[in-house]
Amino acid sequence: MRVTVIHDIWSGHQVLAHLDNKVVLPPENVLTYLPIPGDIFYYYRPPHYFRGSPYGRCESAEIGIVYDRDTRPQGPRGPEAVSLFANISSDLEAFARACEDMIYRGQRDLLIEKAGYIG
Amino acid sequence: MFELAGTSAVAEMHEDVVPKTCEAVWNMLPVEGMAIHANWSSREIMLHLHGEKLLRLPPEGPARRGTTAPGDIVYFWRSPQMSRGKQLAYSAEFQRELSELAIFYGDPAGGGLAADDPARSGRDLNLQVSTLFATLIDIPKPFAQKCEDVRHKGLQRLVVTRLER
Repeated sequence: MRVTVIHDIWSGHQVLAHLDNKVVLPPENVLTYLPIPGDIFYYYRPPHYFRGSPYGRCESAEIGIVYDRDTRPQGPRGPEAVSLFANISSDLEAFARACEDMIYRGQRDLLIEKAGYIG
Repeated sequence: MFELAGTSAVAEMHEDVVPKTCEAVWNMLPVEGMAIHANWSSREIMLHLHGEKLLRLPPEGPARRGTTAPGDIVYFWRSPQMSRGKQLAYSAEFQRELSELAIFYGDPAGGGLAADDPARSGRDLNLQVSTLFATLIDIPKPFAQKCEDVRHKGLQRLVVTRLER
């Protein structure tokens, strides 16, 4: 999957990719308010989850990647619980630098693919 | 006046509430630099003040409770070494003394109640100053869009000048 990834503006050291809104998964393990660096989560917000414009109209399915500490997933109306489903297990430091670089240089393309077993 | 990528917005200072801060900022103008987008505080861009433009001002006016509204412009100062230097490319900026103007151009986090930036705590310890000193008269859509573009395209040059009346 190739997606555009953008730096979060509510949550701290976190980047996110907006998915096709057809990717709607039921809540599972929606307990993570305080992720740690390397955590990868899924988040879905149905339409009218927030009242009022501009966010109330917007349905959103996202993948979030936390790359450093002091991060708390938040939306425009405050903290959000997210579904943690994976964790970066190698090369986080280099990946984190690329994430942080987006603060200065803007959004980037992100390729997510299956790697199989890495021994 | 704030000029960003061919757009502009005009602010009025709150001289009646925080006169010393307003005077210090006014005397420092004009100033320009690369605006950077906030990562915790929602629709906010910041202009870091460096060298002779760096302002080191005491707290003034009523204590802010973390609430913001679109158009708010805040003077912010943070003591050196207040934030740990874990942030990677950010580290130099976070480890040293930080003085900046913060421009809130849109809907704030938490509907204005949760613009809670972990890097912006510590007033009670005299480690930081956060003073609301001006408000944009209005927020022209082109200006707001260019602010948003900082998030998507990276740093943009911001020029702040006096607009005499």
